[in-house]
Amino acid sequence: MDTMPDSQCYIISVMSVDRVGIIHDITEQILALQGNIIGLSQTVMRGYFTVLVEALFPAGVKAEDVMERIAQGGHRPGELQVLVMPRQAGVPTGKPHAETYVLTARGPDRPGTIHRIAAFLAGHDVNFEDLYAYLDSGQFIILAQVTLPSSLPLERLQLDLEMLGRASDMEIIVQHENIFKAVNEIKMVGS
Amino acid sequence: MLQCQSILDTLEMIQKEHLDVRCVTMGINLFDCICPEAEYLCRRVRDKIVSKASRLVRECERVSRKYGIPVVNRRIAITPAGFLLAGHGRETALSLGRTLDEACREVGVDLLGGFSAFVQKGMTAGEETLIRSLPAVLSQTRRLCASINVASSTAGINVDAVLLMGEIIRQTAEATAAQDGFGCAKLVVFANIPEDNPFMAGALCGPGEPECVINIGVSGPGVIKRALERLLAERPNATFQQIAERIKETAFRVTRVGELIGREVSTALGVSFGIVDLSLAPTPQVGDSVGEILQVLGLEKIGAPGSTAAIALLNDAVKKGGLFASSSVGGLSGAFIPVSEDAMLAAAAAAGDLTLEKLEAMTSVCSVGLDMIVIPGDTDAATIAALIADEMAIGVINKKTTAVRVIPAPGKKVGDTVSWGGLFGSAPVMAVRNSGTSAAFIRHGGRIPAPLQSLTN
Repeated sequence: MDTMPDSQCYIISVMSVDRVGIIHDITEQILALQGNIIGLSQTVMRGYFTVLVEALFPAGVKAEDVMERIAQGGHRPGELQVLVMPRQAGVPTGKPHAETYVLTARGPDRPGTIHRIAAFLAGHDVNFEDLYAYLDSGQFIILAQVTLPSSLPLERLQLDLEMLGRASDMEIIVQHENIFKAVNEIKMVGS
Repeated sequence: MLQCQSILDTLEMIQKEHLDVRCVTMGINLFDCICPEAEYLCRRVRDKIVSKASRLVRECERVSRKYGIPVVNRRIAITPAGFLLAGHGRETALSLGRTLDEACREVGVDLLGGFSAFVQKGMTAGEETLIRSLPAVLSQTRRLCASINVASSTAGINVDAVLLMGEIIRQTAEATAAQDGFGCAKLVVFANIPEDNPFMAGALCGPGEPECVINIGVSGPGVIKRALERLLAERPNATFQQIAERIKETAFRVTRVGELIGREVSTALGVSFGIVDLSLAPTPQVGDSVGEILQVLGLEKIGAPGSTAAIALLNDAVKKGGLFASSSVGGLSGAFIPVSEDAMLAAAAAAGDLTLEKLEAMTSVCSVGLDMIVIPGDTDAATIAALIADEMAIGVINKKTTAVRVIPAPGKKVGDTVSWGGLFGSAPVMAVRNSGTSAAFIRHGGRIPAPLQSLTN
């Protein structure tokens, strides 16, 4: 991990209604605390902004200091909802060396759809690496990148997911991610 | 990170636009099976095919599942059997044909290509044996495909072989009269045959090929049609450059699928990866037709003036997109126009919009030739030979592959329909204009000399 002996690593989560300048406001506060950002993932979903930041701070900077400072950086009190937690030792920083598959599910919008699929995948030790879900013209669409344990037979998983989908009018498909890379990226898969 | 829309677009191509791998063809070199003893020859051939291809179907199914891409056909191509039959008679040819058919059944593949001979400059006794055995072999086997190369740009056209093939096609049709001459659907006459073509009926494993190799035939008329429909919905006045760009982009995607599947299957089987043949191979299914692409481009009737220009644009853009996608492009690689296998072409032929002459013109700018065309059952051998000679001339002079796969359907006349079902489809019997008037010309025999290889301006 990219830590220095006297530094403290925090994982920071910020949520807000989206507007221009939120990243500026957050990073300004981190910089003021002499923090150094080493990872960041941000998205906007249906008008709401979320960001996950990993940053190193000098020893002595507490999680409460970081949370308070960033929250104060909003345009008004309570605008930025902030959570800060110290990075735990032993948590891997990279993705596991497992084959990544893309799960696509499409069907009618009903409560509990993601929960059903997630429960099934958790029961088979399948991990979400990236997950999106949204409504499009009345259809609920789930797109996920998942990693499969090497002991799990793909055919069995595909058949079981097909059955699970059929029970709820969903079409659920699992394909290796390389087919999407091959078709959509200039660079040759495996080169 | 993969984009959501890219994932959904790819799924759309697979599920609704017939993006698939049309064939995974294993090329198997059989030179080490050559033996003067017929029984040993057949045994060695059978053992080698079974040992090399026993896992082919299973691995194709595994890879198909992994990527969610249909692999429609698993096939085998062998060393041209004309080499194996040196010193043998017609009985051995028939035994070898049955052995190959049985080996196919054993390993679960639907077709085997390579009951073939290279006779563009002359034929050996073994090759003549093979050719003369074709009516019997093709009528007594189910899975065997034959191809005879009678011309090349460096040798010219072997008109003696062309004449013989006119006779053989007629005899094969008669031998399979109960199936409307279906034996001829498994027999192609070529000029400049490629040695790595994975598509039937012309697949073979040429003398320059490795011991064992996986060649891939991709498809994609449906994908290209939809891509053009989307383009023209957005921009009804799109120029031909814009149309060509869209075809190239789509051919790139289609080719990449073939490359991915081919590499994975060959690695799993521990054999060489050969080529991706990026031909647009239609099927009789609606939405998977080269003819429909011409209609989308604005030709109200397939075969109308403009059809040759349209197919030239399509053929060229497909190659350019595919060549950028893969450094292993080979085989035929062009847009196929097999009449019975393309529902729209068959309909245009039935309506009289598409004639044999227009098809011949179109084959001068696309792949592969007069393909899956049903002609009247009483068409004489000399006329068939002259038809072959014309198509060979296009290939030889233009330094491209051309081919003829015509089916003289016994007892059928112009306007009748012949239907074989499956990928072979159905087609109307097409008129051969001025039939029976070429005999004095074609019977000169000998060889039409090779064309100039320089001074080509």
